[in-house]
Amino acid sequence: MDALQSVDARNAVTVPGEASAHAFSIWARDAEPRLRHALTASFGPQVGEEAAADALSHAWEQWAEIADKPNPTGYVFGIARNKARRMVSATVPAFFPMPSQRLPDVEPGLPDALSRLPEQQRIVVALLYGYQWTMSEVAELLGTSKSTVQNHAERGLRGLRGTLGVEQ
Amino acid sequence: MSKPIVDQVRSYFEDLEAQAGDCAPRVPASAPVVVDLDFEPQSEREEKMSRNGWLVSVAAAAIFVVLIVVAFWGGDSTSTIEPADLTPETSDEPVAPIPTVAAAEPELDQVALAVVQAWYAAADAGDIAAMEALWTQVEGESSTAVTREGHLKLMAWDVAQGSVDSERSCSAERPTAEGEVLVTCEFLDQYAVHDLVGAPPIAVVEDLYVRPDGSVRLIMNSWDPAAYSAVNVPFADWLAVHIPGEEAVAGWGFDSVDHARQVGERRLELGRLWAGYLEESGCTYDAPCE
Repeated sequence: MDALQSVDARNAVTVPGEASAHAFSIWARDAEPRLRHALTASFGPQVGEEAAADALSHAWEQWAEIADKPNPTGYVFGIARNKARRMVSATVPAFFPMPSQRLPDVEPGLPDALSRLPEQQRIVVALLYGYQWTMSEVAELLGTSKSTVQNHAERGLRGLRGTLGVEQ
Repeated sequence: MSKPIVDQVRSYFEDLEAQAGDCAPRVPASAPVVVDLDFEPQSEREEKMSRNGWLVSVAAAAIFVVLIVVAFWGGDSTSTIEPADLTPETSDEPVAPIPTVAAAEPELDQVALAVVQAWYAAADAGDIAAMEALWTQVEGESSTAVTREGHLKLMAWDVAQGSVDSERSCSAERPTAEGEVLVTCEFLDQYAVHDLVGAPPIAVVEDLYVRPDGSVRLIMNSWDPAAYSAVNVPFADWLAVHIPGEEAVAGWGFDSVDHARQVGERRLELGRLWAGYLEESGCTYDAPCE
């Protein structure tokens, strides 16, 4: 990896070389929507979008180190999540806006119910059912097992049903 | 019956994704990989910017001149109409014939406004058949669009409750590239239950896309959902405690237009009970009794 790096002396930022940039671009194409989805699930779309863009920028700057990680996307997600937590007050829950228009079959209380879920459950529910990730993909991102993901999903759905007062 | 919660979650996040996509279109994951993420070192970027700076200036000046010319020639592109004479009690009366928009006519926007007026007249009269005739929206055209059936259900639900809209103020913009006219209408939506418990009406902005053949292709509405939830959530809470099993009237899950109408009528009945309860107990919708 070292041979592929050059240094931008003015900014003192390590900039990957062309081959490394190519590897980054391949990774980023896959990781960008995943990071955006996961961070949106964590903090809501507004903070999530910003955090995802920030995460990619950070990943680019630190690509030499991150590229060698066994799970770069999960690693960047963890960093981005911690960073976003510092940006957002702990007392302010994740904010999920109402739909851009009335969705006839969506309970009006769903966004609020989502924001009330524990973060881990919300991430799993959003990724699995909102963004249609597979159980394996969620488990990989969170660095946990599929059975743990399954548990979070069941609890999350139960929580949503309870808050919304629906049965199915 | 409400949609299963997993389907609701999917619909909601699809909507979020579409909103995000509207703001910042992204390359699909399946697109070929190209190294174009602006990875040039800063020094090279600045050198290029300096070299091409004069070109940018000339281009900007040219665009500015073009914009001024376009603004001068197209200045009279917006017109407004007075709101329609809307009488919800006239459901048995025939709705005005559907005007046809002819793309070459100079009064295109006026004709489109008349189409929208006919649409709202049909909606206020609860004439679902007339609304269907006017609307030819293609299902699935946009993941954020309320489908035609979904919209008709909501209209039937609204009308069944006797909800009233304030006078609408509409304006038409010049045709889109497809020859359509975009008509934007603003009004206050006074939901029946809101009215019963003294909650303020909800400001709504609707965009209606009128095709050259006089049909309404798409309707997009925006409003403050919190204003609706401010009444609906305590209403649902009250129902859960006092009339368990009737919470469905607080939702928007309808099997059909007829079902939506029934739910609307039932919602009005239960809304009256809730309003009576609040009055007797000295509570208000935004400060309900424990």
